[in-house]
Amino acid sequence: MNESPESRSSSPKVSLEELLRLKQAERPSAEFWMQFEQEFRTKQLAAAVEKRRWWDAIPRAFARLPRLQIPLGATAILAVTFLTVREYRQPEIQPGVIPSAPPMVAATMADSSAVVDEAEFSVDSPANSVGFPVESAPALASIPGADRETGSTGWDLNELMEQRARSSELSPSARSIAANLAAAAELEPELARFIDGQSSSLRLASAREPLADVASPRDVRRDRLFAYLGAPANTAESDEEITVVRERIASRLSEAQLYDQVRRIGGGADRLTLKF
Amino acid sequence: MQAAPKALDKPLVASPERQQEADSDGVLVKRVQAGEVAAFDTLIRKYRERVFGVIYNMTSNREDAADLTQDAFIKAFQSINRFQGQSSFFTWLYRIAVNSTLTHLRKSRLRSFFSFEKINEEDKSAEVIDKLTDKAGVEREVLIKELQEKLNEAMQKLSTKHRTVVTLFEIDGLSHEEIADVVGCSVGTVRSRLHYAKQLLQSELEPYLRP
Repeated sequence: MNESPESRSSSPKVSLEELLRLKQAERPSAEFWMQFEQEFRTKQLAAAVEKRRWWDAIPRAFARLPRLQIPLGATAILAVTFLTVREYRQPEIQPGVIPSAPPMVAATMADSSAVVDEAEFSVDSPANSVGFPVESAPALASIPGADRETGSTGWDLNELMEQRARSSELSPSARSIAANLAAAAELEPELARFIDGQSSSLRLASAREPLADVASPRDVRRDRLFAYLGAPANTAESDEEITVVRERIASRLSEAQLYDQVRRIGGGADRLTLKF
Repeated sequence: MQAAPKALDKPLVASPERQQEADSDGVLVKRVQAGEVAAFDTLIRKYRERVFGVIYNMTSNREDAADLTQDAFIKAFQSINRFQGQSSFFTWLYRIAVNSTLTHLRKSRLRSFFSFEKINEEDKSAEVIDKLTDKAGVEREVLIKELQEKLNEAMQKLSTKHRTVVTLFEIDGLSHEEIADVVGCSVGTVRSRLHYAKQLLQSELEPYLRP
């Protein structure tokens, strides 16, 4: 019944455009359009009655974004650039403003204030080993009159008092150290003598190999512990006896115990705290 | 390959008739935007057959085409206040219809079945059928049915993008620019898609075509 393409080869053929034109002729009947209109009215009414959900507006809001792509992108790039430049810009040093002290000096200041506080706390303990730590030498170098070659400060209290008067010319750290020392000397002459003794040990220390001055963490902790522990009340006891006692205690304390003990003790500018 | 140059010979600018049509549509749209709902009925009657034709040729299913045409008009009515007249109303309406159809085709890719309208044998279509067969009566009917099936098969073998372009250009008679506006791509892309689609259709419908 159907004509095969081969059997139709003799018949005139059409172009693709003409063939596709047949599709234009596929049209629904009039009844279809009547039914279409009825259904459309029903749907239109339903759509009018239907409450619009708020999230239906979201795609519409985003549909407007492509128009703003270029301005939004440019704004984002500018914002990122501004933030990056602001983040990495070096702080400018204004004339007349003293920059903050370097960390080492700051540490030294803290240590020196701690010395004064500890001296106030343990009045009868001149022989403890707190003294001035070796690290304070660089800060001492900034004090006028200090011997830079030997590390000796030449601790003359009168001179310190004079220095106090001239303190406006000194650096903040030197002023702080000098003020603390003067205050300590006024309150405790014993401590002043002790400090003077320590200065001679500093002289010796400076003559040694620099690496030998580097204390191990264990030694630092031990010294700190002994600094906080109550020293013998009798100040007349010899240094040798004290050293022997300390060594005994230290030999009985393991590293962990020592660390634990030290951790429990803390000191501030005006307080000593003990954790239990 | 032979048909491509012919397609490029078609006018690329909107014809005066199209411009006139767009202007009258603009007046109707303004009336709808002003609250005159009846003016939208005029627009529906004016474009429903064309919109249905596009959707029908894309889906090859009359029921789906009817539903999608109704949905397209409802969407257009709901959004008519956002229509700013940057493009002509019929381009805007076509865009809604084509996008809805493409979404529908994506969703129902696996459950597609065809239902055809009857070919109306009027002037041009009758000429084409006469060229293909000299028979009359039942045999002619059978040939038309067979041709219709072959045409739809060939169309369904195209991707949705290619089918859209062929439908809009060859069946609905839109220009390349108008298709680019409706589909949302460049004129070059439209031409390229059209060329590729025609190549495929020619290979599929070869027994019916002139060498």
